[in-house]
Order: sequence, then structure tokens, then C-alpha cells
Amino acid sequence: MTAPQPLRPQPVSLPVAILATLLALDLMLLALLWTGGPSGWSLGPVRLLPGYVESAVPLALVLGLLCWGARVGRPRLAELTRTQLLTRWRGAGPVRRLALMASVILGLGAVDEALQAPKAALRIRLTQAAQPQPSLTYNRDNRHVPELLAALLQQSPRGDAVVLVDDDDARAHEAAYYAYPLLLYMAPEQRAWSLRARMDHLGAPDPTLAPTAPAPAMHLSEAFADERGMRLLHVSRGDVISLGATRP
Amino acid sequence: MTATGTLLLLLLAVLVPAAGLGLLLLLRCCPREPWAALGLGTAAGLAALCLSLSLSLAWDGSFSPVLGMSVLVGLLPGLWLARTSLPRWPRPRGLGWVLLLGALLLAQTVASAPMRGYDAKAIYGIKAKALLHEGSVRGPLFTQRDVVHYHSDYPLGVPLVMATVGWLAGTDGSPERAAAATDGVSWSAAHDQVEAYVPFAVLWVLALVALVGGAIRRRGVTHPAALLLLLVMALPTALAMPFAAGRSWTWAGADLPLILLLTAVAQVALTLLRAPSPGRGLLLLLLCGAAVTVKNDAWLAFLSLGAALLLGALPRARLVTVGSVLLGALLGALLVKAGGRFGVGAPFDEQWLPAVLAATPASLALRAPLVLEWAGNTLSQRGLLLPLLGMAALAVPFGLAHRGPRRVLALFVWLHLLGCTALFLFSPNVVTWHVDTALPRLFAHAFGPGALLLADALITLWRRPSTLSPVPQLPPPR
Repeated sequence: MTAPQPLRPQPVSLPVAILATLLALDLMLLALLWTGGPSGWSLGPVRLLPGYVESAVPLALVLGLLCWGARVGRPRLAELTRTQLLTRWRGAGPVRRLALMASVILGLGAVDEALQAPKAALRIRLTQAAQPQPSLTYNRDNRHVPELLAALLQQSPRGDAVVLVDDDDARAHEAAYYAYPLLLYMAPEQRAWSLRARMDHLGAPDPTLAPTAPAPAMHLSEAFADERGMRLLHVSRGDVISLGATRP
Repeated sequence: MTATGTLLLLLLAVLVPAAGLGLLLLLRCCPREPWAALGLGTAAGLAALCLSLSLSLAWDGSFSPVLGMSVLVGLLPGLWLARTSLPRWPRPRGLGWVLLLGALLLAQTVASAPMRGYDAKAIYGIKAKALLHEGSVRGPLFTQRDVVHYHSDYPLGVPLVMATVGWLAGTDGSPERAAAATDGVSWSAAHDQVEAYVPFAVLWVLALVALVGGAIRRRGVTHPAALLLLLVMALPTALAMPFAAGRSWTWAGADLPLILLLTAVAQVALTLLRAPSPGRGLLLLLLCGAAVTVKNDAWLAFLSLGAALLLGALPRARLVTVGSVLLGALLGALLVKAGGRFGVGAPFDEQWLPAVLAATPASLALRAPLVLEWAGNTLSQRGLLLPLLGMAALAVPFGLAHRGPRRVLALFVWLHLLGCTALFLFSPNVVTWHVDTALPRLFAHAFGPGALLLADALITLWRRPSTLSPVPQLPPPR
């Protein structure tokens, strides 16, 4: 009868230890930052913002994995290549080899593409970390949004408004999202034109459709605002150039 | 977002897959493979949430998050009643831990990005805000056609889920703070609850990866082929990335949940072909119904799937599958139509029928080269050309060469890609603009089901030479 073997602790592999530590650190710091809100958490003279933590941890993760890959992963990858890939390659005919090559290219391309979002997210957090509401800054062609919102909020009494936008994207759709629960209205002619005009920005006209008509005259929007008893906000190239008076 | 709101959202992220698993167990169609169960469970949970929220909307036009939560909680006892049928969850070891922790960190990184993209704000976000703020579709946003607002013809599945997430998330801003706001940033902060949906949508990507990963593991791929597993699992994530990387789309749109639901539809339809059962038929019906409440584009996928079933499936099995898809689509259409009767449509929305009727052979011939040219441009710019080529060169020929479910899946992918391309010939919009903005999204709807086929093809391709024949049989589905 053999003596019972003493229990030995299972070895923890390096990548697991790195990842677990980073995840724990990440969660701990995020929990701390929640108490500070979006403006962050003071650490003496240093101000710790959520964006810095959320950017630093994945960066550290990537560095850790690269170090591990260089030290441990490379020999294993070589072994895997020798035992798995070459065996299949040698036993394959020309068509199958072509398919094998295509699958490797596809796989590597997929990994590269899968990393696009984390890379983009990281870039945003690094460049926008100090801004508490960065979503407002991502309006692509809608440069008018912050100006239009400010004009809308500063009017007295505060209320819904009719808009006329001469911008890269004249629909005012993203401004409507940010303005809600205040409502933006648009004259039907202006709205129909803005929806069609946005399709011309690629510079490739449709041979089967008539060209986009010129923009409707401004008096249509003014009449529409009058009819509804609302102000008319006229925004051009990101600047509010006129703010009509409220008509009773 | 408040700390309480974050906690509630984490609970919801657990509740959705748990309720879905409960539903699968009650219907006796839970996959044995744990990853597949988790992926399909999440899709089923999403379907239950969308359908219950749409039901309330169809009944009296109201947004009722309590009903949605009640349905999810009501499905939980299924977990207990059928606990012996739950898949055994393996303890992650080695590479498994790396994948799991890596996935969590990547998800956290992606989720920390702000809500971006036109669709997320102007189409879905504003509707979600209105549902949350007004509590129904009877408010001015849905009933006054001159309010700046686009695509009033879209079903409200995603805005309903966004509003539910916003309802749970709460806000840091008080009404007093909102009243005092004079700039967009502070005003937005007081009304940004629905933006909490962006991190929440990570759940759909993880579920998609789990579905494809489960399909791979069911084929017996284990540690020696872990590298292959990693590469193939990256594919669905890669397909989802344009939605996250700011290339026109965002995670806060309808395409990601639709891809998840359509992948689950394809998975369940194929299982139903092999082993018909009432539970699977009902699950397929619910998934199809939910897909229609998420986006009208689901109809295109169902047309392709129906045609693929009729062309590729054996007559004995296809009747119940086609019937489930059809009934599910009708259920979804009924809910959408009933919910839509409270609002008004805007004359500015796309008018497809007149455009289709106005098309002539000459106009189609003029547009065809433009469609092909711009399809190539936009797919390349959005990083979708490689997955598409992989699908066309590896997966579809592989599927067509086999009889039964594989051929059905290949036909579905092929018909969907061809059909969507042809659709743009009849577009009511400037065709180059329309192809540039919409074609990759429509293509991506078939990539989830295509990834299942691609995984199958790659596993067969990379099998050890000594085991090339005979072809191992799939384990019997449950």
C-alpha cells in the first residue's frame, strides 16, 4: 500500500497570472473611480480619470502578452507549426494546399480585423480621456450639433424649435437626438431636400435619377416656423447665424 | 451611469442568457455543448425580451420594461425544473483562461468607447429616448410627422431594448441639473441613459462567438487544434467589428442583434432538419418573430432561407422548418404592424414599391456596373472583403458539395448575397450612396450563419490526414 501523495498546488501559468492580475486591477480601479464620477478621483496632486485607467489596463495587457509571446509562446508556436501545420501540408494535394493557404490567410485577416475595435476604442480613450461626454463629439459630418444645442438651450423660454441647417449634413438628425426631450421640427420641403442632398456627397450621381434640386428658399422655413409659433434656428457651417423671434 | 445602474445592467446581462437557457430547457432543445448552449440561450433570451416588449407595444402602444423583465424572470424556473439537462460546464484551464479573460478585457475596452454613428443616434437612440421619456408611442415624436426623426418605418425592437437598458441604468443628472443646463454636454448628460446600451451590446458579440465556438467544439476540436479554433473564432468577432470601429455603424444599431438572431435561426433550422421536434419548431418560430421585430431586413434573410430550404432540404424535413420560419415571420409582422398603428409614417422614408415598379431593363442595365463597382469599394473599405472571399471560395463550395443541412446553409448564404446585391438595382435612392451605406450591413447578416459553415469547412480541411476517411458523424442533436 502506497502512502498518499501530498497535495501539491497546481502551477499557475504566466499568461493566466498576468491576465488575472490586470483584470482584478482594472475592476478595482474602476470601482474606485465610480465613487469619483466622470470627473475622476483625486490622488493627492494627481487626478485619476476613468479614461486613463481604461486605456492603461489594455495597454499593459498587450505588453504583457507580447512579453509572454516572445518568451514562452514562440517555441510553442514553432512546435505547433511543425507538428500540426506541416503534417497536413505534406499530406495534401495541390488543390487542398491552396485551400489550406487560403484558410490561413483568412484566419489571420480575421484576427487583424477583430482587433480593429479594441484599437479604435483605445485610441478614443487616449485622446478623449478628459472629456466627460465624448459621444457628443462624434458627429462626423454634423459640425452644427454643439452650436445648435447651445442656441436651443439658451433661448428663453426654452422650447421646441424649427431648424434650418446649411451644413455638410443638413438633416439635423444627430442634433435632434441630443436635443431630445426638446423637439426639433423642419419644414417638409427642407426636410425632403436634405434627405436627398446627403446622397450626393460621394460625387457619383445616379444615371437613372434626376439631379438633386436646389435647396428650398428660406422663406418656406420661416413660414413654417410662423405657422407653428416657434423660433427658427438657422445654422450654417457650424455657426448659428440667426435666431428668429418666437411668433405668438 | 450610476453604480446602482451598472449593477442592474450586469444583472440584466446575466438574466438574458439565463432566461434563454431556461426557455431552451423548457422546450427540450438545449444543446449539449456548453458554448453552443450559452450562445443559443442568449439569442433565445434576446428573442423573449424583444417579443414581450413588442407585445406590450402592440397591445396599447405602451413601453413596458416591467413586462420584459417579468417574462425573463418567469423563464428562470426552467433552469431549475430541467436542471439535470443543463450542459456540464468545463472548468477553464490554460488557453481557456487566456481566451476567457482576454475576451472580458477586450469587451471592457470596446465597451468603454462612446456611442457613435448616425444610425445609433438618429434612428435608434432618439426612438429609445422617446419610449423612455414618454412611456409609449403616442407622444409627439411618433405622432407628428414634422419632428426631425428618420425611419419611422423601422420596427422598434432595438429601441425597446435600448430603452429598457436606459430604464435600468438611470442617470447621473437630476431634473434640476437638466433645467439649468445651457450647453449640450450637460444637457446630454442628463438625458443619456440609453447610451448604456453600447456596453450592454457586447453581450450579442460574445453570444455570436459562443455560437460559432460551440459549433466548432461540437466537431470535437480540442487542444491540438486550438490555434485553428482561435483563428476561426475570430471570424464572427471580425464580422462584428465594423459595427464597433466607427466605420459608419455602431454596436447600438439593429445589425448586431439581427446577426445573432439569424445565426441562431440558421443553427436551429439545421437541427430541425436533422431531428424535428415541437420544441425546436417553437424555438425557431420565436427567433424568427423576434428577428422581424428587430429589423425589416430579416425578411430578406427569410426569403433566402426559405428558398434554400426548398432547394436543398429533403422533402420530409423541410415542411416543418419552412412552416416555423413562416409562422414566426408572420408573428413578428403582426406585432410590428399592431405597434405601428399608433404612430404616423413620414413621407420622407424610403419608398421601395414605386421604385421597383418604375424599374425598366434599361435602368437596371445602367445601374448594374455601378452596383458592382461600389460594392467592391465599400466591402474593401470596411474590411469585409476577406471574410466574403473566404465565404465564397471555401465555405459555399464546401457546402454545395454536400447534401442535406450543409447544402441548405451554403444555398442560404449564396442566395442572400446574390439577392441583396440584386436588390440595389431597384433602390429608390442614389444607388452609389445606397450601396456604400447599406450593402455591407445586408451582407453581414449572412456572415453569422456563414461562419457556422466556414467553421465546418475549415475543420474538415484541417483534419489530420490519417482521419480523412471515413467522415466522422456529428453527435445526435438534442
